[in-house]
Amino acid sequence: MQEVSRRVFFKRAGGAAAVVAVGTSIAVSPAILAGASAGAATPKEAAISPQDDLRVGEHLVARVKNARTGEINLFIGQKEVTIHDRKIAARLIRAAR
Amino acid sequence: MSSHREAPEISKDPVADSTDLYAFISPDKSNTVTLIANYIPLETPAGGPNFYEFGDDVLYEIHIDNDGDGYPDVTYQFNFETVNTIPTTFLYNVGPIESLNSANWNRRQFYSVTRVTQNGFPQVLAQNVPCPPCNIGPLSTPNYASLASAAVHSMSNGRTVFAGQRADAFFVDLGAIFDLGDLRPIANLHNTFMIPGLSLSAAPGVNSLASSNVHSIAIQVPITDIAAGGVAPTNSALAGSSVGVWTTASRQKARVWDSNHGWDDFTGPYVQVSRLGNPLVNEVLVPLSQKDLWNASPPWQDKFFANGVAHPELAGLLNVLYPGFFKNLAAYSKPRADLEAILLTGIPAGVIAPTYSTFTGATQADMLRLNLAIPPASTPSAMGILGGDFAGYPNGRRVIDDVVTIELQAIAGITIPYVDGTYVKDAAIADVSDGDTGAGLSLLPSFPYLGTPYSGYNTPS
Repeated sequence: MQEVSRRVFFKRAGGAAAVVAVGTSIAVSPAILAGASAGAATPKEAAISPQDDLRVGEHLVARVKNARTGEINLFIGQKEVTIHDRKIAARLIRAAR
Repeated sequence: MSSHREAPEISKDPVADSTDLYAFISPDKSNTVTLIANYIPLETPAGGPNFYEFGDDVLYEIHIDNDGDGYPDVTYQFNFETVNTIPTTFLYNVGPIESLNSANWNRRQFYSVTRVTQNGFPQVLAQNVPCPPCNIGPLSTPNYASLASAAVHSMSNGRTVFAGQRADAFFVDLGAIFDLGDLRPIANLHNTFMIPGLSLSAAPGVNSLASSNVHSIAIQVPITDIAAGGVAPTNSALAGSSVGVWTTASRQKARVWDSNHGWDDFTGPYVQVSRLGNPLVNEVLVPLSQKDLWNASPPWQDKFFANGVAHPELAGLLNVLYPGFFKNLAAYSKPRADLEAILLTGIPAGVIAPTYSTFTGATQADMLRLNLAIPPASTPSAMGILGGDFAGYPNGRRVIDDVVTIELQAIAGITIPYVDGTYVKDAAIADVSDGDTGAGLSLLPSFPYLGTPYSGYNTPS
């Protein structure tokens, strides 16, 4: 019988990230960063280029730490990247509220 | 204790909670070092139907500093993966588990071992190594000892590894000690806070961890695998002969609950959530408000916590709890250079004996220090250096070492005369103990040394 691990199961079942808010942490889809609403997928989203897409089972978590400075921590894979962009921070907060 | 549930945050995350760390020259293979990191405190043997297991989402590491700066020079990493081989059953096993590839065994763990050196170069030492099952009972896990011994795995260059459930070898009277410093053997001397009608009598200690299990990660490697420059030292008096050892558990930084699947998704870099070097340091010497920070900090930053070692709160409490019996200790106001040496820098050669040293350098870092040039003792004493045994704690830590009594007596001042000849020890110091001796512990004469775990069927009996 084929073995099923948690990771393998997740990889099979997983797709793009869900939108989940925990405190000030927000898991975002690339569409939000592009300025789209957090609603259903659009044809524009379906046509996203491979380099801008998430890999299977991968998701990106964004943590807006300081809206005034635009400090955002981005988590993807085993990486953390910090950016400073007040417009994106404001857009994320608006999308989450 | 020694690090079981020692800090508020990690007490809520048992699979990442380190309980004990051991490091010693293998008594039956003296050209090797055995390193054991225990996790998951206070396992109740009858822990079904979901028996204990390592965290697939936890990075377990054992670090070695061989140049005294508090940074790792060699790290062994352990990653686990759990599989369900029979997805349709609710059971851990559907029949007796007679071997590590038994078709009756549903829920299994496998792990990889990676050695990382200072330059960051990772070397995978083993992959898909099976853990043994938990010790369930005579129907599910008959012949458990031989089943577990099959999980001892040989790797390249004389390295050996084991990861799985073991009987907890740590012994301590938790119930008394954390009832406001009650040491049962001298309980009759306790001030009892003048509670009306309460009087305590002297009594033997009670091992609060008796019949509980842990999950052990044990690795035995040639001394040359961890020594500075890859050369086994021969002169125990030299600082370069000692290494510092600690274990950490790390989790990925971002966690989001995935309600579609009913589990956490982890993303981002691994960050440290648990740390253990010397027993009892975070438990007893670090203030409660700083314990979580200590767990997230590296050893090289331990100068920040050094005040708790130089001025231990417990030393000040002893003469209050046992009025008049620790007058000399109460009057001693100097920083505790003895404890700083034992726990933060190692003991330089000449302090105890010309050939005895655990010194790694001036950097204050809580690491379990092991002198690689001191051979195993032919007649070991559980009291380690206090019993005249140079191969025991605080020179590394063996599974037999009575670290609670050693550290309690050290905090009570028994080691001050090593660094301050003017100090006179209190007469009561010889009686300072929780009263547990480790008698009756289940241990093995060879790797992985920790005994067969208690079975769920037979415990409690």
